[in-house]
Amino acid sequence: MNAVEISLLRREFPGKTRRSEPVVALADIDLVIASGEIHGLLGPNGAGKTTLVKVLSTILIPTSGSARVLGKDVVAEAEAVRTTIGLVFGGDRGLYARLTGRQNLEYWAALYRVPARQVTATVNDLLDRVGLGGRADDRVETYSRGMKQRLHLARGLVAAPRVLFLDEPTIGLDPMASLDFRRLVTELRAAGTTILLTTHDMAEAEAVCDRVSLIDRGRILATERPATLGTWLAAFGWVEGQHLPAEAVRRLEGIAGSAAESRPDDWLRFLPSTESARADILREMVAAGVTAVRTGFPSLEEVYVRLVGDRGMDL
Amino acid sequence: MSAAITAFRMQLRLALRTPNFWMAQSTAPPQTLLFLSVIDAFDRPDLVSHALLAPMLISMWGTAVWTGGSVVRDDRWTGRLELHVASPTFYGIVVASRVGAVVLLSLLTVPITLLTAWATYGITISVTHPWLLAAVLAATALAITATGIIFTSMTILSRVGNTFQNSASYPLLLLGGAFVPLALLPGWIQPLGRLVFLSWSSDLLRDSVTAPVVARWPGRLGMVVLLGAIGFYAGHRLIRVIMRRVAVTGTLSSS
Repeated sequence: MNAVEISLLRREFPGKTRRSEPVVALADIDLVIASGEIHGLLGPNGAGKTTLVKVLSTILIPTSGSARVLGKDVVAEAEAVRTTIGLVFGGDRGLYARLTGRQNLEYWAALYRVPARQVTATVNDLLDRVGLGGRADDRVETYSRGMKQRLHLARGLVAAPRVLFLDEPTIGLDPMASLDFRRLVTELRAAGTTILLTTHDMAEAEAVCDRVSLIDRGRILATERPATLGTWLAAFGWVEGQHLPAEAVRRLEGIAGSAAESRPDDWLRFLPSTESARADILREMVAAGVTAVRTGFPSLEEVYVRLVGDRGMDL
Repeated sequence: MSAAITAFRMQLRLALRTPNFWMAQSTAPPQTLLFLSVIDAFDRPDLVSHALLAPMLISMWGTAVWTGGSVVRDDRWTGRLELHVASPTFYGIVVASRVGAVVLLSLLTVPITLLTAWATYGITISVTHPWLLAAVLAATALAITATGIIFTSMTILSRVGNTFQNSASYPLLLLGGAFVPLALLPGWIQPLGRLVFLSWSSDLLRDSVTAPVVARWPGRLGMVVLLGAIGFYAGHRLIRVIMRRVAVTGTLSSS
């Protein structure tokens, strides 16, 4: 059985005024996530990621279409869906600041119907897994933002959900904590948990996901394996050089296949279309005696712009 | 059941750490002083029980509505309401348990009021029917909890729920005979007041303190419980309807 099956799912919100057209947050999307899969949902702010998570977690009712979690309809069988899912929103909101971390988890364990005799062991285990065992009995208001986010993760796991929705779970986490998060996701994968992970971070998606869907303006643009993401990143990587001689610029534009973009302080950016072209540009710059060179990868939004611009919406 | 008990215990902890709760409690002493000063000025010691009952009921109601209302309001503004909706436990159970915890704590108003009366005017009260008084207080606490759920649910539906709580509380206290017995209000209002559980509670509370014999008390106590039960059912249904509505409109979140 698939963990998540979405068919022609649409969600509209009212416009700002009564005469305004409704805002389409999800535009008739289809998506299937296999049981045990870690599925990434990548998109910029306002793309529809959180709306999709809210529909799947029964917080929002879709305008049309259907969504099933472990075979249960999220509208008609919402109560059954809730017993199988865990939900983690990003950021440091959503906790009881005047309670301790342990008290927060005990409260949510009761709401998720964890048997009373198992609550203490479950809570202790989760606190240790997210590295909060030593601060378990401190009030949450004394936690750093990253600690609160880790407590959120523990909260989402309190009922050992079969399907876990993680909405921007690494917001506020430092790099080490983000690595710990990836380790935790790997453990969950081994335990057979299905995860839908929304993120801005391509590298994070590439590191932990089996497949990734790109979403923008409520539409799923593409669903690919993470290796394809690596190709996109390489394909749209840029190379910049400073104080380039005019002759070198002409040769480099020939290699890149497009005109260079001017940047402040006499930097020029080249956008090669392949990884080999990028290597050729770097070699050519060194050969031309350029000493100030830098390379980088596009932001997710830049990848969207170039993907959509190059191929239209039919990716 | 476990969820209800845990929510109840959690709210006891939270309320004692929340300024809102203590602010509601702090209104009892000045109100006691106000009502007793009126009784004293008009030399009507026979109305002392009325003067003491008013601040108790006002404070209990205020605690239920304001601290109870903040249960939903805070959950909404801090992003916890959505997490509750996505959990397997119906939010109405959580709200009922947590408002109940707050109302239980609001019974602190009783000793605070009595202590204020003794400290300011040297008044001590002898209760003629202490067991009945305890039973009526318990039934009143349950009925306040039930009705408080209705008021609390309004904060889910409306972002100006505070205004509703504020504007509806005063007439309810008036019709409930918290300030003066319902019998002293104009005749045409009295049938309306009888639909409010508080009117049965307040009369019974006064009688249990001063009346030599409390007439028909089982039936009157039953009315408090019955109207409380109706309020509980209405509040429960209202929360279910409101939760469905906000899931359709997408207005559950504060952001």
